[in-house]
Formats: sequence, structure tokens, C-alpha cells
Amino acid sequence: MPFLEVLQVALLAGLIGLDRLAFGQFMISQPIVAAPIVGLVMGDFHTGLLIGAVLELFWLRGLPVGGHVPKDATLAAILTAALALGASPGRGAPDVAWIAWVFLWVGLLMSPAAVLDRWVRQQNAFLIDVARAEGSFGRSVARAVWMGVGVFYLYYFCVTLAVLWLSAGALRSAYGLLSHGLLPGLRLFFFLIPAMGVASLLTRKSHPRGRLFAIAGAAVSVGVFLGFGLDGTVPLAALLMAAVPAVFVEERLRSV
Amino acid sequence: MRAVGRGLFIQSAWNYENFQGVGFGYALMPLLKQDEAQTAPVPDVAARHLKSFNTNPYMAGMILGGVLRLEEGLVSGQGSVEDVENFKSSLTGAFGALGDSFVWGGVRPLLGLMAVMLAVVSESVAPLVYLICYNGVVLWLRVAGVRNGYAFGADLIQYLKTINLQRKIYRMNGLTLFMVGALLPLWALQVRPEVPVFFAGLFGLLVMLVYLLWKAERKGVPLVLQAAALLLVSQLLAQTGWFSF
Repeated sequence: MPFLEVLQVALLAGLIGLDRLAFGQFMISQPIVAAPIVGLVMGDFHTGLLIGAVLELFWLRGLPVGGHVPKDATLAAILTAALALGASPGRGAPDVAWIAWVFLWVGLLMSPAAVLDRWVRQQNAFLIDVARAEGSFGRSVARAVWMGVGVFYLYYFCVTLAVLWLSAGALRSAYGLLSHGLLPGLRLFFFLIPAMGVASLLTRKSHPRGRLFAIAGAAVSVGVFLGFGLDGTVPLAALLMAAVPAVFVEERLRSV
Repeated sequence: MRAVGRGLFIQSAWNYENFQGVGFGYALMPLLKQDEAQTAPVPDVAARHLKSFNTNPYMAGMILGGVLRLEEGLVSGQGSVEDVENFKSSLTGAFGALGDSFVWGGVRPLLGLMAVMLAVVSESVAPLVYLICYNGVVLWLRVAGVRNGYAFGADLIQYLKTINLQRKIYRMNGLTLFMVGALLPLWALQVRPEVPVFFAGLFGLLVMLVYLLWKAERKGVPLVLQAAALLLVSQLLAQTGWFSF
């Protein structure tokens, strides 16, 4: 990847990362938003959205409950989209097998990234002393908060810069060494990734009629999408019109 | 509105010692300053609120509003510092758990699923619609939270009962499970919409894999092993020619 492109993505990653860690939590940092943004900047919104959709479904698994910090979906989305688009071996839209390859590499990076994330948050304890510093109290607290914003920005900027700059070339070379016979399997793997997120979500959802809801959703979905096709929002609206009353009717039945 | 605005920074100095403590002090400070002329020194009050604080970021506004009300009560001689401390510490855990279940466990996955479905049928607007819907919900939590936190003060838990988040979580769980079921055929269909047999095969495969991975997840099989097994299955199926790409 050209250094200027790496720099551009790293600067953007810092901003998107702030949303996850330090400011707002507007969910610009969710894969379904972050990856298309990176895609847009790199000239391929469609592939960015595809990557965002797969990662969004995969990351149905992580919940930031209490002090627990789940693996970083934002960093994964930014790195996967940037590497898939910026270091793609072919011309035009990247092959799905290549995106799956990038996903596997980024997945391996998530554990070291989680260690680094924890380390940064531990080091952030110095901000408590900054906030309690003598002098103008309001200003010292504001200084601590803005320093925290700066730390988190730098974290995303540096990690993105380092990973993209150091691994793009090697990743592409390693992909070139793969046997062509493995590529169809990688393509299929890419479309099966969501199964891991969905399965994890199901383990967390306890609902007395959960299975019934899931089966009903699948049945209605097969009907409307095979009937109406995939284009347009009509089938989705039809799906919602079936789902919302079902939820209320079930609740009424339960209370009777 | 100032508290809502400053509340956006509640996690800016997040750390493992006092979690959102610095951010909470930052959000509270300008509101305390209004009383600076006639009350106890602001630093003393604010220093108390730089202590450990950890709750769901969207629910913090409610506690912020309640604490502000109690601090104002202190100025006029009602209550004690211990009351404020107890109020804060007793609510952070409960509000955190409720907020995590409602937002992280309910709103976010549900809207994430719907955004992916929208991306399949009408791609360009999906991220925008997701952001609008999500922020519509959390803006309500943030703005109404601060306002009602202040209005209810020590009786904040009563307000929580009136909005009945538990019922909303229950409904969202039902809706999420419906959407999970609806997603799988849609996901299978979008891969190769022109080949019905492929759709049927991939849908069946997805359902089977979700079931097996659900079992694995319940037994605590590590994610790396799950991913490796999935990769192996993909390679085997592709090599046998059942799913040719």
C-alpha cells in the first residue's frame, strides 16, 4: 500500500476509534458503518459494506458488559477493509477469497490488540492524577479528559499505521503462494463467517418462545424474499410487518 | 443540554482504576460551578465525584441528573454527603446491568441485524439508517435520562420503573430472534440469487452450522477452534464440489 494511503486510513481510524472508546458512542465505530466509510475513502463503498456486513454479524458475539472489554470490532473492520482494498492482488473489486484471507490475518491480530488495548487503559490511570492536579480544578479535569481523547486517538492511529504499513506486502505475498485449489474454500468460508456470530448471539438470548420466533422468521423470510426478490425495501418492510405484531401477540398470550 | 453534551466524554479517560470517574466529574463540573459563589468549594465537591464510577455510558446521564439534584439539596441543607455517595454507588451497578442488557444486548444487535438485511436489499442507505435509528434510541436515553434524573433525584428508581426497560428488552429479544431466523435465508439467497439450488444448499448448511456452533459455544469451545473447524468444513465442501464458487 502506498504510504500516503496508509496515512490517510490511519488518520481516519483515529477518528472512528474515538467513537468506540472516548467520545460519543454514536456507533460510527460499528463494522457496518466503519468498514463502508473506509471503503468510501478508498474508492470502493460496495466492498466496504460487504466486509462491514460480515463483520457486523460476526461481532454479534462481543458485549462490553461491566469492566469487560470485548475484542475490538472497530479495529478489525478498519484493518480488514483497508487491507482488502488497498493491498488486493488483482484489479477491480477484490476476490472474496482474498477478503477471507485478510479476515483470517486480522483475526489473528485481535488477541495481541486486546492486550495492547488493556495496557493502554491501565496506563490511563495517570489521568486521575492529572485531573486531581493542584490549581484550577475545572481545567485540570478538562485537561485529563482531552488527554484521554488524545491517547485513544493515538492508539488507533499508531496500530492502524503499523499493521497496514508492515503487513500489507507480506500478506499479499503469502496469498500468492496459496494453491488455487484452496480459493473456492476460502470464498465459501467468507460467506459462512456470520454463522459464528449468530450462534454466539443465540446462546445469550433466553426467550420462552425463542425457537418459534426464529423458525417463524426464517419461514416468513423465505416467503417474502423468494416472492418479491432481493431488490427494494418492500420485502424487508413485509418482514417487519410480520415480526412486530408477532412479538406483541406472544407477549399478550404469555400474560393470559 | 450541557450535561448531555459533556456526558459524551464520559469514557474519555476510561481506565481500570476509576473507570469513568474522571469523565463523570467532567460532566458534572460546570453544573456545580453555578453554585460556586455561595457554597462549599467546587473542588471539594468535584473531587468526591472523581472516584470510581462505572455504568453503561448511555445510562450515566440519569445518575448525573440525580447526583446534581442531591448536590443541590446539600447546598440547601437537605441530606448528607453519604446520601449522595450511597445513591451513586447503589445505582451504578444496577443501571449498568440494565443499560448493558438494553443497549449492548438488545438495541445494538437488533439494529445490526436489520442494517445487514437492509444492506442486502438496498445497500447504500444501510449505514445511515442504522446510525439514525440507533442514535434516536440512545438520544432519548441520554436527554430524558439527565432530565428525569434531575426531576426524580433520590427517587430515580421510580422513574426506571415507569419506563419499564425490562419489558422492552423482552420484546427486543423476541424481535431479534425473529430477525436472526429471517437473516439466514436472506444471507444464503444474496450469495448467488440466480441459482435456487445453491440457495437451498447454503441455507441448509448455514442452519446446520449455526446449530453446531451454538452447541460448541455452550460447551465453551474457544473461538479459534470454531473458526478453524469452519475453515476446514468450507475447504472440504468446496473440494468435493458441493459448493462451487
